[in-house]
Amino acid sequence: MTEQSTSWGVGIRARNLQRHFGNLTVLKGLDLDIRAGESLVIIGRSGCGKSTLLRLLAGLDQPDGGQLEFTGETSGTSDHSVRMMYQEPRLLPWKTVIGNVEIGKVESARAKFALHEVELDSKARHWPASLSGGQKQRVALARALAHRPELLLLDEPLGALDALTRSTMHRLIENLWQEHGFTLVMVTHDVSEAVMLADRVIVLDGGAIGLDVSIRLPRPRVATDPAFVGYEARLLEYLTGVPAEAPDETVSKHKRATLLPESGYLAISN
Amino acid sequence: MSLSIRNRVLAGVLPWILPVVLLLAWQTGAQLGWITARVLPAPTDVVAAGWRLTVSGELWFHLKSSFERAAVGFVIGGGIGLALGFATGLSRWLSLLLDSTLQMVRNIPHLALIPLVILWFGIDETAKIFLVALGSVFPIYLNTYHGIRNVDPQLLEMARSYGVKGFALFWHVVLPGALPSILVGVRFALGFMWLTLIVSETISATDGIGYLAMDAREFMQTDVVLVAILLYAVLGKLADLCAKGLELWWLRWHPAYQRGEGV
Repeated sequence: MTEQSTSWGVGIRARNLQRHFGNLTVLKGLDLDIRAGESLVIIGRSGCGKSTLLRLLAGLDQPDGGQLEFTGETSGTSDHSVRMMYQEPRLLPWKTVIGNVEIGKVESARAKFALHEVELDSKARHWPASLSGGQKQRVALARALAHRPELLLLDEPLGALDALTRSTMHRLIENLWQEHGFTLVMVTHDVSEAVMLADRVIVLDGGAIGLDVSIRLPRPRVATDPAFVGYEARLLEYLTGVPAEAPDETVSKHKRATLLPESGYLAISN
Repeated sequence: MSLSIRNRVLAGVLPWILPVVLLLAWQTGAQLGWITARVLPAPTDVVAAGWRLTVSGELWFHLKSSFERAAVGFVIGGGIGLALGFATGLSRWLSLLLDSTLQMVRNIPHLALIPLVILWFGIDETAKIFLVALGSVFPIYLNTYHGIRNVDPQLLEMARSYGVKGFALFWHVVLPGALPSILVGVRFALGFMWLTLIVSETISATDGIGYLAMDAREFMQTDVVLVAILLYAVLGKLADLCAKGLELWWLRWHPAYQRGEGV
């Protein structure tokens, strides 16, 4: 396989984005710029609108107001390749692994290469039912990659996986993102996952961006790095509303202590 | 270890004990004259009658007629049921238009239509095929409709967002997703197919297994009647095996159909 990875990321500009469901306002005038090739992670409490935002970006749902446009270098056509990985792998159980990667008119060679990239060559002819949860999500990742996405959206795809598989997947996603250069937007509940993968983390709060943090750490990142822990603490503090120096939380205390000397890394806007 | 082998042998033998005992009792009873041949001829006599019919070619002649009726009726009825199921399953408007009427018609036992069918078509071939087709329509219609409506919406959303649409969406996602349910419908329809065939052939026919049985009754050939009944049993079992074979092949991706231990 000598296939060249020539995908280019696409940027996104959202202005005054609104989405209502009946009387419930999920997004109220959200402004967001995503650079082409950036890795952005969206976190927030349940019901903060992060999945809604992702579905708007995916074109699975339409905003009630505001503008949403793609910016930057494109691959030639006006039709941007946006692909999504869901919480569930959503593999077609009646197609083999390679058949699933080929869905949507993907050439066989490209599908094989994508499967190779997620290190599942040996499972090409297997049925999805015979795979583990982590393997299924890797097939789902290969399926997305085979379409050479300019924008890859991840909707908590690792939520159901065990810790070890998650950390393997983090490395895999990070490597593929760096290699392909697509724009990566991920929604997660997991603060640690956010700090691990993101160039920038935004916290959604009440339908708008509550916190916007650039993570300036070299890759590959190490979760035990004090600066890493500092970012985690900062995000957790915002999410839980509990100040990091809360006396009843020894962990927070520890994180606070490591946060202070590293606070120069924090770039907080809004 | 030896106990489990003994259990396995026992499990293999146990289901056969009752039929073998019954068969032996039947044979003995018939031979000793406890059961008159007109009520129940000896099993050996039934086998002999079967052999006689096979050799004379009569059996194949009637088998062929019945099989043709069953096949033609099933293909017509199944095809209509499948088409209606696709139509109502895929289109909300067609579902609104057709489904409630079809559900109403479905509740009429199709054998209740026999007098009407005889008025319409007389007692020739068309009447029998019509009845068989009618018996096969609804099991397949219902299960096709149900199967399509229950295709995982998450898979549909995924496929659409990956650019799969139109016929490709139907062929790669909707149809395979509905197939387990459709095959359940096929198995039900096969059951109805034989039932309808028996009834329509006993009412009026000049060939077919039903005719064979009715004709033998006229001449009090109980052994031939039993041959005809056994033939229906064998044909029914064969049809079911075919349907099972289709399931094994088409649903081989399904964990429940994968070859493993407890099959």
